[in-house]
Amino acid sequence: MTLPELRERVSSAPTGGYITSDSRMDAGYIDNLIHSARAFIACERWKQYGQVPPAYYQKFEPDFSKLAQEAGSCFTVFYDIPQIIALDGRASGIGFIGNLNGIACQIREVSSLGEFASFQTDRIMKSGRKAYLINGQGEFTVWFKDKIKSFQMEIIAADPTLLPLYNVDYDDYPMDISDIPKMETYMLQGSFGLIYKTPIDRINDSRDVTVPPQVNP
Amino acid sequence: MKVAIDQILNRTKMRLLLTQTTHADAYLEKLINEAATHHIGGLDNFVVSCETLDIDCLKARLPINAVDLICYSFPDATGCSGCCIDCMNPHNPNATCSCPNWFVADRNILTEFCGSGVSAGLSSNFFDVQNGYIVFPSSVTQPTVKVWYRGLNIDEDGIAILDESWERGLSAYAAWQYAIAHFKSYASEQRKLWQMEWTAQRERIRGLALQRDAILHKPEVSAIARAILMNPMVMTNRNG
Repeated sequence: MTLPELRERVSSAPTGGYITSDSRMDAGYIDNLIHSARAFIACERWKQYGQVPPAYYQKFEPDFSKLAQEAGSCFTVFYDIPQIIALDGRASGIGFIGNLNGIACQIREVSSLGEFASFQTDRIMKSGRKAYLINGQGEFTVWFKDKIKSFQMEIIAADPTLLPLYNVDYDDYPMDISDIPKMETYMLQGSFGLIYKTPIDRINDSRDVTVPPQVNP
Repeated sequence: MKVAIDQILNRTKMRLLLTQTTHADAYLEKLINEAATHHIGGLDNFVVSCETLDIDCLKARLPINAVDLICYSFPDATGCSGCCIDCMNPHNPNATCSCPNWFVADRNILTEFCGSGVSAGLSSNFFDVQNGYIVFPSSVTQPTVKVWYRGLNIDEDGIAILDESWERGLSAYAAWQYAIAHFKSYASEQRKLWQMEWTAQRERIRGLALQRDAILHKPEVSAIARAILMNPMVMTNRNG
């Protein structure tokens, strides 16, 4: 099911009632709710079963920019990284990092420069040449003996449409099909919960515009 | 058969239900390496190596895997290594150098050296080892020193060379330690089981190492036995 199909399905669900002309049914707003509900369901599945279905993960290869690198540094920085969800305090939404410059290997993920520094205090391992990736806000820093020009990842992005390989109109939305009814339920209970509003009558005349239109039987 | 640490790391992640995230990889790798290098203590954990080290500012940095030093010597020393008072005294060119050719860290090995007629001295009388460096006295002018040492069997990344048969034990250790750190996520019974599994596996690994060592030295033992059978008088009566 693609994102437009999902959007159509979700926005058709809250029927009935009297809804004023607000912006809650805009495509951007609905997409945002779908992404949030997806992240919430992924976290819930992780907490409950310790696993997230593979459909949630997307392949991603950060772009290397030579001009953005510091000369003579021991690390490579990659920018424009989409936000990745955190499943809980002990698990990030990164499923795999590896294949450095096309060579099959795994990279170790650390969450901050401080954590990286603490690993480097090990007397024996500090002189090693394993690659470490620091997961920063919107950027990755990879420490390795050489400059890294490419590596591959599998991630659960907060907004899956931001990934370059994802085609909104043709690709299936990265979510398990069995979780879609659950997502509808969350959205109807929460953000789509129907709010009955009374329009304000600002004109001082005899006509009452706040009365809902009567439907003839 | 030796295996990469990634294999044991993946096994640990399976135990901990962390296969779908890379968040704990660095910590788990550290735990596995810690168990392999420091806790197993099998005979095949260690290797005897020698390396020529550069002396810079009267300090030589020891190899990272060095555990026990065996002996040193200056590769280009011709009887004098500049380590004693006699060597550094410019006013007494006729002084007889008293430097040994070998500096031995272990007294038992020193006895062997001296018994073989080699000029050797106890290294602690001449040099100190501090914070991973050999510190030389200011009289030393040699650019390099050759060091024999007993070291951990590790690769260039500082990761222990891991045997396939260690996989279960090392993954149990890493899982146990991780579960202790995240005790809310794992039941106490589970933590206890991993601890018991690690303890049992550690003993098994040590036993296997002994067994392997005995097999490796079997020809030597049989050669001695054969020698005793062939000439019992010579072997049993050393004065004869």
